[in-house]
Amino acid sequence: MRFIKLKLKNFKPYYDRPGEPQEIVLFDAERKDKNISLNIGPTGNGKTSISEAILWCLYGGDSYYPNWEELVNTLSIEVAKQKKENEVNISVELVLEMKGEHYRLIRSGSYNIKTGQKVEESELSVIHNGVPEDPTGFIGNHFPTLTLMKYFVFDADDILKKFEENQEGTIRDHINKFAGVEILDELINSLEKVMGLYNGDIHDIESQIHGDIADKIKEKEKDKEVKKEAIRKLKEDGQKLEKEKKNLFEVSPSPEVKKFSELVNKRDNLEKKIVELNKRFIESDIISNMDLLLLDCVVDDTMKKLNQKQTTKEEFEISTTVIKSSLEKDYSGLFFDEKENTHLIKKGARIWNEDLDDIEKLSLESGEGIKSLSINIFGNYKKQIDELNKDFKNDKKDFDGTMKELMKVRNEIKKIGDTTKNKELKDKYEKFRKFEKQIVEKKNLQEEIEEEIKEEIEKEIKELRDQLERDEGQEKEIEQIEEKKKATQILLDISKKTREEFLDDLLSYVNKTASEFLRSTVKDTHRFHSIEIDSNYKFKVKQKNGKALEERQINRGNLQISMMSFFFALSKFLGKQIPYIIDDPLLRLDPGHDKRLIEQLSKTSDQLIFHMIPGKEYTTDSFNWLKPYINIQNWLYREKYIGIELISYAECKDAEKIVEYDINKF
Amino acid sequence: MTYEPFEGEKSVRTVRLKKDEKFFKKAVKKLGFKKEIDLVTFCAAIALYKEYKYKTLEKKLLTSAKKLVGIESFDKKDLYDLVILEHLGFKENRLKEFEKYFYTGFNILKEWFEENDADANSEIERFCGIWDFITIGNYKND
Repeated sequence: MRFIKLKLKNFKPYYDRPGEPQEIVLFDAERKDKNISLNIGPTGNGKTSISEAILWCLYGGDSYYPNWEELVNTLSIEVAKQKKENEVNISVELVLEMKGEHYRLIRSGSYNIKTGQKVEESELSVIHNGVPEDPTGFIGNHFPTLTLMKYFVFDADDILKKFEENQEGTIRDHINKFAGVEILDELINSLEKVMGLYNGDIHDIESQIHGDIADKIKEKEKDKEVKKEAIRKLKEDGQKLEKEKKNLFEVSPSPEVKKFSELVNKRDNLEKKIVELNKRFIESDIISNMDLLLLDCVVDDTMKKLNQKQTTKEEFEISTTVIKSSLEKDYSGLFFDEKENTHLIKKGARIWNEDLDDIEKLSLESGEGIKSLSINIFGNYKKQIDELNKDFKNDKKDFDGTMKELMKVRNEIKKIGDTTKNKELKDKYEKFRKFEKQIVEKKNLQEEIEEEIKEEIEKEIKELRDQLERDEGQEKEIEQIEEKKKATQILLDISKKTREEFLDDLLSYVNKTASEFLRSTVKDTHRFHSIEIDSNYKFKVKQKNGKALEERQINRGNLQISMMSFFFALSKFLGKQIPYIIDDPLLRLDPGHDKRLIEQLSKTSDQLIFHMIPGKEYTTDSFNWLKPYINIQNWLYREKYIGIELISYAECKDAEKIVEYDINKF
Repeated sequence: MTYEPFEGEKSVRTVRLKKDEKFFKKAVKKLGFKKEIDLVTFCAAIALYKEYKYKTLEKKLLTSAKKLVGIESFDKKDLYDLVILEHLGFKENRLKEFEKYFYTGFNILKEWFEENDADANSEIERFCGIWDFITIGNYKND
């Protein structure tokens, strides 16, 4: 996507001078192999207003400009007053190009001179080949939300200043904006409020009859929510600690630490294997039938006793009846196999070919005698026990083997950790143990609270509820609210899960892309190899060996490059080819760094629009290295009109030559 | 002659003492049983195994008990009743006898938990440990 030109009417300093439309060309199709457009002018000449005009055109004023009236050119108001006109009209027209097609985007508004306020702001019009398009769909398909658009339209000086002032907080803000965490948090808060309202409704219904009990229930529900929040926090802390623990031994120049790290990895893998074995074990039928495995010898013994037990007269008679009736109807005789099992021979069966398919086993199941019933029951259980025995023995063998190896590795880790003379290893091992201890403590505490909720609070709530006598109508009403609560809870759970998972995905993408950006920008790629932002929003620059550089090891210039790499990686996450419009792109960057950063950005973007200050950023030197990329350059002038007000306008200059700083024009 | 498991008794009882009840709930959860009756049968099987294998078992009488489940939800009632009838030879008061085995096994299980549960992290680890504790007589954790 490319922004081709911008037409401004009474927007901020761009006064609509009769007969001289304010048009700023942003892209020259004749030089389409070059993708940097420059708008050059001292502070106050209308550079930032170009960015604002584009944002206003795309998104409208209500969400962006709390004081809409400030968008109106002050001179146009004065002129309208003098002419005794009631309104001033403002508009911005942006022409953009996407895949060879041109689109005209127009937004306008009017301002009441008397009230000093907005009369109206038009909807955005999108015109393609003379035909209007649905503006909401157009913006939704091709642009991110206004919050995220500010990662394409920004002031580099401002961004870097914020990073330098508060690194961690700034990174957290950026990540949260991108991960939609802020929006999700809002959603989570709203859903929690809705849950609170539902509980309030139930409480109100219950209070109608039993005020005191209802109050107690409300108190317990509140307590439950507080405890649930504590569980969520503990889980979050636990996950953070796990990540920190994992990062501890990730890399190190010392062979001893590396070896130790291998042991820790081995241990982690074995622990993971045990988790998998346990998962399989839980899902099988073994747990609910563990008793049968112990009963194996008892069942065997009982069956033996049963076989030796004398048959009662009743059982004998039942058996005889079964055999007799079977023989008469479907069978021709009896057959005893090698194991002395008794079989009935089906009528017409050929027994001499030793094919026993047609022969069915003699069954006494129809008998009601305890002996035959017992034989049958024990026989069935015995079959089940044999199968379970096989499964459990296999699982146990796997588990015992893995556990033995795990114990060996754990002991080795402990031995090395306790006796090492390597300071780095000693420190890391102590931290590692501290993390492990904290993780276990948090997990235990979490379990305790869960238990308390389930075993005490929920029971108490249930008991209290049982004391409430409700009529049918109230029951039904509460039931309906409970249904709504269930649906809300599902949404709440999904939102919480999405928040966690999306944050992980985003961090992994940003770390990868920012590292690629960094490597193609810095000279020393061995030393400045990758960027990592962890879940605690800690910003780390890592060397090729994976070791994080300490703050003092990174000079300001490289830190700026790293920060900008992170910033650009964030915008790339959106996967949209939107032009970057950057105010003061080089002001704060070290010479050399600026060149490599812009080169890299130019390679990965369709269009870059830079607003630069002459003499500071825009110099002979910077022009010379920017020259191969410059598509167009505009000189932004400002002048006084009717003696008091300032107005801005742009003049297109030869892109091949440096624009002279023309003081007389000011 | 018709047969009725546990002589037509209507429900199975379990521990009532507060500390026993607490451990009962904990064991159900930690061993991953989906139903409380599964722990009851597991405990009864522990005691029956011990008695059969080692011929020594000091049975404990469940003196203070409360209703646990209706007999109809006790899936393996036929098996346990027939073990008591056919294997142990009790013709009467078979449910009481079953409860004695349960409570005896329950105390053996408690012994294992007191000694070893702090080191166990998963259901499979607990069952393998309990299995060795019951069948071999010790629990190896290292």
